[in-house]
Amino acid sequence: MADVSINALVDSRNSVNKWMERFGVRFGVYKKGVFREQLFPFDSVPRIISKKDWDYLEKGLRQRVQALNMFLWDIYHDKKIIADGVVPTEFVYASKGYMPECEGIDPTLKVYAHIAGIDLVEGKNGQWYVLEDNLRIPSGASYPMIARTVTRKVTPEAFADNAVADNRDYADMLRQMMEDVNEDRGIAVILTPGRYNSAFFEHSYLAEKTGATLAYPGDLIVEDNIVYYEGLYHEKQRVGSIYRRVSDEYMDPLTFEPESLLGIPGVMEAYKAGNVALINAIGNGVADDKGIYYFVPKMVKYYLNEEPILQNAPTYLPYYKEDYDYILANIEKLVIKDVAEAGGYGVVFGNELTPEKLEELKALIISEPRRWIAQEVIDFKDLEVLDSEGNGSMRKADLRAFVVSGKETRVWASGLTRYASNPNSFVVNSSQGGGFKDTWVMNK
Amino acid sequence: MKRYLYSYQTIVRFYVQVDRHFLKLRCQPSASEYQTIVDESVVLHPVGFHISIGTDGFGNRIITGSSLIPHDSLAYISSGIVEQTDYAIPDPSPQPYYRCHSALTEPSDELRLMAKEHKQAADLCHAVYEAMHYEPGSTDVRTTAAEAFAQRKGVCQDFAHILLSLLRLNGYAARYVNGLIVGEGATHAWVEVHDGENWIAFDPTHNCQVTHGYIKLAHGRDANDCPVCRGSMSGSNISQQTEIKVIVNEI
Repeated sequence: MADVSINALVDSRNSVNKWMERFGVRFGVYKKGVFREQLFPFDSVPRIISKKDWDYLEKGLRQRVQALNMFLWDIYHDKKIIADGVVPTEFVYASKGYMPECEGIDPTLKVYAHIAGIDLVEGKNGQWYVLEDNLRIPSGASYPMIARTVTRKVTPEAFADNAVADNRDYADMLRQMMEDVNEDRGIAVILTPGRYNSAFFEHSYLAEKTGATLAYPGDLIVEDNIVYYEGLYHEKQRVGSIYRRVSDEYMDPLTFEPESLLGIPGVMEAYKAGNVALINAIGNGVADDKGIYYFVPKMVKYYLNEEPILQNAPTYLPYYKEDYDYILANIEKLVIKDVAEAGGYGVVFGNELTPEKLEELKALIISEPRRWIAQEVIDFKDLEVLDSEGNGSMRKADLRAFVVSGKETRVWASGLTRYASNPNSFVVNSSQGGGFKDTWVMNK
Repeated sequence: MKRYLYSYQTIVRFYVQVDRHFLKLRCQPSASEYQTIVDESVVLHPVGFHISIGTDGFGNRIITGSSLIPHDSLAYISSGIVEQTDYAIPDPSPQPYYRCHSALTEPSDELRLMAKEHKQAADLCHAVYEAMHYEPGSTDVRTTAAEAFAQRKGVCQDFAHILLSLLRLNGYAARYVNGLIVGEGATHAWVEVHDGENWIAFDPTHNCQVTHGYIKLAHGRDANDCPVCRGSMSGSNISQQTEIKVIVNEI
């Protein structure tokens, strides 16, 4: 990067954050039952990904998401991958994300994960690893979108001097995908649980940018297995696709959680009848479970008959005898993850535990081997982060890449780079503190 | 071959008008090798409901309805005639999820211990009957097998959940069944277990293997999957009173 532009970016850090505060870039957190909104701190010096690295990532991400979509189709239809012994039965059916209510449902174009958020890290050796696949409601795309918009205004020279891939096409990618699966059945809507959802800012921002209607619970009704959006004066418009930001179990009180007020009563029948597309599909949790993660490279081989391009972090499943023994013998140098938890919760580093706590953890693994996975600690490439005075320190960081699948599968040449809240932390989830950077994908 | 006349009637009265009402009913008999539907009808009030029919993910027949017209009562009658042979429903490959525990059948340590004492479905059924005391009002629709077993009392739904938990601990594919029986004022619950070829049925509340006379409506992993009626309504201050009548007679 040219020196002039890096200086400009460094100098812009406070004004960019002020702009974003004014735009309302924030996320909500529940702590001890109290809801409050936090700003998401932005570090103005971007992460840079070379064209060579990006070409590799793009190919690998497309391949991975295609295989995951094929897996989801298979699980809710023929279950060949189980019959062929590639994925053990209990990993699928004991998963909380598996929804038998979705058996036999045919989502439009056979797409389940329309929007996939794949979390990656770069090792010190330059090797990228996938840490997690998020196939339910991956959030976070709005932050780099708005950060880029603001930085372009504040430091236009940084973009004139450097060949950065334009990332202002995310809303178009979303819109195109929503139309692909809509098949001219009606309008496209984004369903938000409302103002007190942690990602409400994102829901309203994406609705504005895609031109889709922002719908609140109660705005959508089902009559004769067709979904309608009911406007202010009770006029009804047919809905063809719903980008829903409400989780599976709250989507239809007639099918799932009966007390849910966030969902659309009867939407499952409309969906099953093929009258509406749900983005993402219901039941995707069975494919982004931490236990299933282990099998994703095997899925690539199985469905696409290709070598997996992207690598998983080295992972062990206590379910297999060999891995079980390895984990118990090496627990103090491994990361142990609870399969059922998400958002950076339920992650334990063996090297941070006292001998007593290690024994407790071993006992848990022995009693419930299916509940845990263990991974080698990856030596991340740290990124430099500046505080408001401009002093730098090194932090752990990851990258959430967004992959959008409609008629075709496309990777957004951008992503959300999140960094840990302090130099000693390995956890980079936004609900655990920390901030984000813009991600520059270089054109040459 | 035996024939039964059945009728299932529900009246729900709302003290304050309901503005919108969405519902899903599983009130019709299921059709299988065990049970043939000779004649049937479903009548729903208020008449203005938009109705669709279909099947759910477990293969049950469902009726979904929606009404945007304010009303202060909901009533329906499902009635007809079914013909039954011995209770055995052939299924060469039962869905694997019937072998896994579901939310309401998750076992506790004492259920795990009990599961080790018997292997045969009939023995497990008997053990549940012996251990449990039937007591209406001692549990509700959200009570799990482990909770009901801990207090050693419950109703037919709890007996069924406990038996399901024990069967699954022993590796059986087993499912929850909702239906109607002679002499019961409401719906009844029992259990189907896969014997390698067929689904056969046990009723832990009455300590028997089911042969016929049980009108099957719907099945699922547990009671959550197959309630007779589930509704979602909006309006202010909704409170309601429900009245259910069931008649089953051999003809």
